[in-house]
Amino acid sequence: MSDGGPPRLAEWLLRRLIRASPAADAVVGDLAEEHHAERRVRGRLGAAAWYWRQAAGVASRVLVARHRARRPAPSPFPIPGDSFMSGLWRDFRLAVRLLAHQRAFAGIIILTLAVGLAANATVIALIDGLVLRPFPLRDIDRLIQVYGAGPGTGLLANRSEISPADFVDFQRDSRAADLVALEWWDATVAGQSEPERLQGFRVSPAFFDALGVGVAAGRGFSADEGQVGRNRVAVISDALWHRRFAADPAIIGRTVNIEAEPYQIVGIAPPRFDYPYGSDVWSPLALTPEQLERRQSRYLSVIGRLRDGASAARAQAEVAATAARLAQQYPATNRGWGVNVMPLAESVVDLGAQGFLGVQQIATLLVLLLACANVANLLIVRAADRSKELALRVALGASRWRVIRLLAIESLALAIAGAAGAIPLTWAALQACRAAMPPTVARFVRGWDEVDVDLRVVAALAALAVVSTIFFGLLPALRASRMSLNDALKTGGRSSDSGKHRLRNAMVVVEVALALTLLVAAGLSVRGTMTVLFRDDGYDPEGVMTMRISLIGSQYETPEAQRAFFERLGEDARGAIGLDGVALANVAPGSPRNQSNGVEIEGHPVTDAAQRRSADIRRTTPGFLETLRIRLLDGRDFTTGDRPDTLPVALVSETMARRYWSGEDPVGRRFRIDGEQTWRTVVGVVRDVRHNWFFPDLAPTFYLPFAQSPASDMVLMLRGPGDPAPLAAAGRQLVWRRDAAQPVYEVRSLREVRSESAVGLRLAAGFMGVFGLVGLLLAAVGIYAIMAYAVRQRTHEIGVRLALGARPREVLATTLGRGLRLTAIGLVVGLAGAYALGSLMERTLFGSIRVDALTFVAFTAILAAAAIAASIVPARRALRVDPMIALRNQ
Amino acid sequence: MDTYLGEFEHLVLLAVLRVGEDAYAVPVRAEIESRAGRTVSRGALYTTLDRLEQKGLLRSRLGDPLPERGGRARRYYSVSARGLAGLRAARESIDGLSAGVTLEPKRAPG
Repeated sequence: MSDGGPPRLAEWLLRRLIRASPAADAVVGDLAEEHHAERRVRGRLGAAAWYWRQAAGVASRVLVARHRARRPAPSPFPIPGDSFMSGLWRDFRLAVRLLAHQRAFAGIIILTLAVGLAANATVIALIDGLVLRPFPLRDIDRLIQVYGAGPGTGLLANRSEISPADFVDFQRDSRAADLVALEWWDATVAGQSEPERLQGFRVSPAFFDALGVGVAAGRGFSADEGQVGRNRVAVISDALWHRRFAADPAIIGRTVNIEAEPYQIVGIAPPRFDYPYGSDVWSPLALTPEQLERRQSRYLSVIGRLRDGASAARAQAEVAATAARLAQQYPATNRGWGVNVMPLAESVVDLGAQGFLGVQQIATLLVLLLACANVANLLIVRAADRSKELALRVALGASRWRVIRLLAIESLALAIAGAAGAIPLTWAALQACRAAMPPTVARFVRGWDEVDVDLRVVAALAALAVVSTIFFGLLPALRASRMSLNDALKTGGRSSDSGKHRLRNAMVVVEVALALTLLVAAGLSVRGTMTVLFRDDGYDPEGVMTMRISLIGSQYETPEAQRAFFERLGEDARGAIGLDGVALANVAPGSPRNQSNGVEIEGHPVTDAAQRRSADIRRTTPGFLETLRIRLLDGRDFTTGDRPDTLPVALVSETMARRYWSGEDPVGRRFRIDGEQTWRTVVGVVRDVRHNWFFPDLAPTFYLPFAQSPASDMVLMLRGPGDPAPLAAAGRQLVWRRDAAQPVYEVRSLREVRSESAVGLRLAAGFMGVFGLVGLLLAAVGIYAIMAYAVRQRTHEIGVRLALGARPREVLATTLGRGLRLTAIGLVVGLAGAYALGSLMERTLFGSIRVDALTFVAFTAILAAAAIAASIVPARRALRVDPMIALRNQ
Repeated sequence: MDTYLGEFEHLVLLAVLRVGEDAYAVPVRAEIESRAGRTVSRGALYTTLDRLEQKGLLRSRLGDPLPERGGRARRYYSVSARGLAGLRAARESIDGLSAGVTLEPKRAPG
């Protein structure tokens, strides 16, 4: 479009569509000429939209005119000497014409298939984007991640970070892979405009080479920049370059202030490269001699590129050998620690995502099966209606194979139309997923931006459509082809073939069973999510606004300065009107951040390194418990009297008390944080706060008074009487009145924090909810169609019964009875399926979902009610049958 | 008269005559829209021009390629002798039928 001409795609499509018309060239030229004029009036976009409209109008008009002028319908009978392919093609055209005449029938089938296929395509697009191709890197299968495998158990036990000293040893010993290390770096960039908090990473100088991405402009890091004092250089992301520096090429070589230190920008990363975690800035990792001694603190992510010819297994073996040697050499820190090497593509996939997507995939396949069952149903019914036509074909010499082929091709035409309809539905579903995902979380979901309807998804759709044709088309076709010629021609379409009933009955059972499975899964999912979002997690999230402040600048380097700043901020906030509570803490409950430490319990020494104790650590100001409404169970809360020079004190959670002082009263006992000399005395026990919904166990937690353990990175929490949203601005003002250079970020109410932490669950519940509703609807429609058909088939019989004096209620009972019997069988089968899927969800979704009887009972009742409603309408119609008409209806 | 003219075909033939030398689709459409006071969809015009040419009522020739048309030529139309005869016949039949007929609304008796 840059040349000012019409939109190329539209023009190309138009040309192709009308190329058979003699004036095609002139038409395209006319539109180009008019587009030229429209551009001046409507502007570029307006003219493009105008062109698309006109092209669509002209093309459809021309095509319709041509179609009308076409020769008559293709012959439905084989033409002698006709080739196989052209015979197929003729059948296809015939099928399309036939379906075009039965718009309602074809429309329902196509819509049903489109919904079923779109559900699958959506999940396939998510799996493709998130699991199979999580990010655009060259040779991603040559990249590995090295994790530490600690002695503990649990979700993350074999996904530990690596200590600096261990990393250096791994790197030196590895022949199979070039290893690099990464460290989180919360970088605040200042100057020019307001301070901005960036996601940054300190990386080994060879980082860009190891990933094989290089830089788009400037240079990467040189080896000597990995030394302390020489590492004040940075590479920025393409996104940051555009956002903050207006894509100014002169930025390279300039100096910017990051974390109040001058950094020279030496390069710009390739567009869209933001590994890891939406990183915006990278700087060389320079380890100090003290850091290089450390084996205890594990905080480096280690990734690597396999050298030519080397396998991941060899890399694993090498690193494992080094780890084993280190475990012997440094038993105090390394005993029980192995390594875990896995493909990077696998390691970046969110731990929950695989199970989550697996469950979704099962559910979508059930939806598709249900759609297929429904369509098969409709086709069986129709085949019965067409029995005369088909019988005539057979009578005139069509082989059984020929009839099957005709029906199969009709099914294929339906499937193709369904797949075409599924494409926009899939696109819309993915848009909805994106809208539901907050950007703060999407950043951490690798590949989220890549998820789209692309050729791979369309190809998958096509394949599924063909497969589903077999599911829904084959049975009806086989059945129709096997009918008795005599019967079909003799009766008025009334069938005495009980096999046909059996098949239809089986379909009702299958539909009910699938629908119940989906509904219960949806119910469990929604209930589980509601539980996570609204259960009592030990604190009250309503009405609390939180925001994070990380002090930057040399004036805040000492603990005294940090304490002074935050204590004054707290005083300011308490002095502000309209607040019910003010507190500061290092971590907000439910947030993705956490801090934990090893602890030593006085009088309970641990001999085995594998049983080392650890606990989550919270640094809080007095008023924290009150502000978050966390109950104090025993002892006392912190007071302003707990100062740096008074007795070091702590509060512990119930779980910590139970686990580390089992059977004893922890108040008055002492513990010590690993690596510190100070013993801290427990002065109180507080209720457990659930920090991560996805850990089934509550973590032991202890609280320290901020005055005795200051930090530079704290969360300000403000509780107001009502909606917390207005508190955000107030909080920012409070901080900036003290120091306008400090960035205030992660501004979120506690409700939002919790809701974001469960975004995956919410998505899952949303998906399952939609699938469940679709299942319910499809099943109801299917049951209705079958019952209506059965009643129509039995019109004669019912008429006879009524004429002979049967009471309407008896007729109703027999008609209804059959539907309900089938429904009941389907419900029993469905309960088994629902239990299986429910248990699977219970296992894969971190126990957020519990199989509970209530959900089963409730949804069985709902589905039963829908089935009864769907059968009662046709059954009542049976009663209104006028015996005279019914008997005459021969 | 062996060729019956549809209403829209009639309009198109007249418009081609009116525009004269430069009668390609764009000005023909503008002519109908301004004179007959109705909007004309491009698709309908193109299919009608095509049909009229097939019936032999219109002739067409190609002009020179033009840059603002992406190097494509205009297709200029002119009314053939047969087309003129058709128009004349149509006018005669309309005149004949219109003679002596008042098109004022009739007042209801009483």
